Amino acid sequence: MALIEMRDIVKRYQTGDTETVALNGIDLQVETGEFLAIVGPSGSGKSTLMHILGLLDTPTSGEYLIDGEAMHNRPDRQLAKLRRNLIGFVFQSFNLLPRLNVIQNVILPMAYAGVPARQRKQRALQLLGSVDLADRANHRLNQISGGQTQRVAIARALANEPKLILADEPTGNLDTKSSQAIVDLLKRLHQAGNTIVIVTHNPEIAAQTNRIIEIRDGSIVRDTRPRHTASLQSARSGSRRIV
Amino acid sequence: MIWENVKMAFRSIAGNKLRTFLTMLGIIIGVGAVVTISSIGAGLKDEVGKQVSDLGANVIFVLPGQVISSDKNGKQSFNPTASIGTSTLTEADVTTIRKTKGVQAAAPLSLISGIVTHNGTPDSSALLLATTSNINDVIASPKIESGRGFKPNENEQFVAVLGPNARDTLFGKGADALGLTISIRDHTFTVIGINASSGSNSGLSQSPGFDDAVFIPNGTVKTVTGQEPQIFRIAVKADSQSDVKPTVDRIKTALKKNHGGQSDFSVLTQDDLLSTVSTILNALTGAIAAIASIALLVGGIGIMNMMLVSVTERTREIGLRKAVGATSSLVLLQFLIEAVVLSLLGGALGVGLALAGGTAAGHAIGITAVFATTTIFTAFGISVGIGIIFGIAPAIKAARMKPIDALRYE
Repeated sequence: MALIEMRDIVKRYQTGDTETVALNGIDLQVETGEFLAIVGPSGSGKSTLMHILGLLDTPTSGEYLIDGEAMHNRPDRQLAKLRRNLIGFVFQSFNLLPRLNVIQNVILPMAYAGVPARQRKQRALQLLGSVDLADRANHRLNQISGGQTQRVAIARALANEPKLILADEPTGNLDTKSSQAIVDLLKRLHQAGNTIVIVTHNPEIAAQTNRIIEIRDGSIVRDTRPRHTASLQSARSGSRRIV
Repeated sequence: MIWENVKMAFRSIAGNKLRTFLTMLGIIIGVGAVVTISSIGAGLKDEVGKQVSDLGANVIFVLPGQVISSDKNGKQSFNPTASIGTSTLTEADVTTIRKTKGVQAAAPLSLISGIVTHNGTPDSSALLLATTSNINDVIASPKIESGRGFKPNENEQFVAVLGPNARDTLFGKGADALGLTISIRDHTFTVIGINASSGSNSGLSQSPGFDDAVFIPNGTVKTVTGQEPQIFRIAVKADSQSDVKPTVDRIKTALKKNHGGQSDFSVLTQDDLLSTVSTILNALTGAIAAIASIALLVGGIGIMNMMLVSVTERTREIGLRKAVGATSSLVLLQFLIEAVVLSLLGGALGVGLALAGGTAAGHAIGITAVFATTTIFTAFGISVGIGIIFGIAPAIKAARMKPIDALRYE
């Protein structure tokens, strides 16, 4: 069974009298352990697709299943819980809380999930270690670089051991060197068994994933696997997730 | 989660100190005013209670004019001006009261106008009172500290008993004035006794400030002023505590007969005095509370305003929190707790202000402000209530945000 299954997902926005079709019948299956990129020009609907994948937005019609469970018509409270337990987000603008320090930001999803305080801290330190930021745990966000900030965000995304990591232009605000560091980190996480979907318009980054889905005007126009199967197979058969 | 929200609230408050302080100002002023006034009110009540109980048990005061009247519903109203003006009480009334069953002793007190001087030094704050020799049998305070009181046969002798303040002003602080003389309207009186201090005077009490008093015998008044003394109080000592009420009724009946059937006088027990003072203070406290509640309302609106601004400012934060798994109710709780922490902090500062202000104000008017635990807790309770009432709308606004819209907010 696929981790993610989308059947004929349509998203329409009503702005005054004009209706915009953001997604026009998306069919998509993602297996556990895949590392895929969603690419396309701005306005193509890739962000909307990402938001629906992340349960931040709901489709106008169509079916969306995670682990075989239908996601439509769920009340807000359930969606919040599903986001908390199933999905880890990485955003272009980092979206860390500036009032919290590094480790407090990583702890946040665990706090909402009700993880006991001692355990939270322990795991947060472990996660920061896995993104090479153990020594920055008590730094404030304005004391670390952009690349480091995004690594904190990735550590946060991993906090509740999500089944799916969604990264929306994770390198959009970073220089080339930091960008590559982030992509390398994502690759490492993928090799450790995580399922990762990134949205990007940078072809170099997309090329480093195992599958590229190209969207145009709300429809998938191409679904290619540049570096096919080998890594995917090993990831699937190997033990899932170290971190 | 609640504790984390509290910590979070403090963090966001610390991040905006000036704005937070300005927001809390209404609450600080409102709570501060209410707590200050009630502490001073309670202090005054204690003070008056002390003064009244200092006078001794079973003391009844008879006043000219109908000070307390009851309407047909039994609701009592207090009219202090009724006792001002030409007195309706006479020497005959004193005699009548003395003869009334249940009365142990009765002494008239008359206010005499005239400046008291010693060697040309005037005591302009002296309260010149004429009374009879048995005054110390009727009221327990003031007590004689040195020398002696009037003897029954001295009613027409030119002798005087001074309160400690009067002594200090006329003769110098702590001076031995016994045997020395004072002058009242060209008449010379010999000082035979000094009263002990009866404590501070609130000025709100029904009993005059005895520390400033100069007592002279009743029988000398006509010689000094050319008029019969105007009796403004008759102090009465009843036989026993349990007998006070019927004795009051008997005095009323007897005096009414003296006054041709008119109740142009008041007979008040210590309880009446206390409840009169309480009535005045409660009315005063109520009025201040009404004004303060406007400050609290304004303070509450201030909190609501700031929370609305804060929610808008933190739209992305709300979106992020929801994205990482915060349910709407947790977001609601977060902002509600922040509002409550804000108003509670305001309340605490208000209470602090009141502790300082009440103590200072009490000091200024010569009483000890009393801070009842219930008052403090009520103040905190009201603060929490305001936080909830005015914080709920912004919190709901935050909770209702759709995560995707909130995250996209610029």
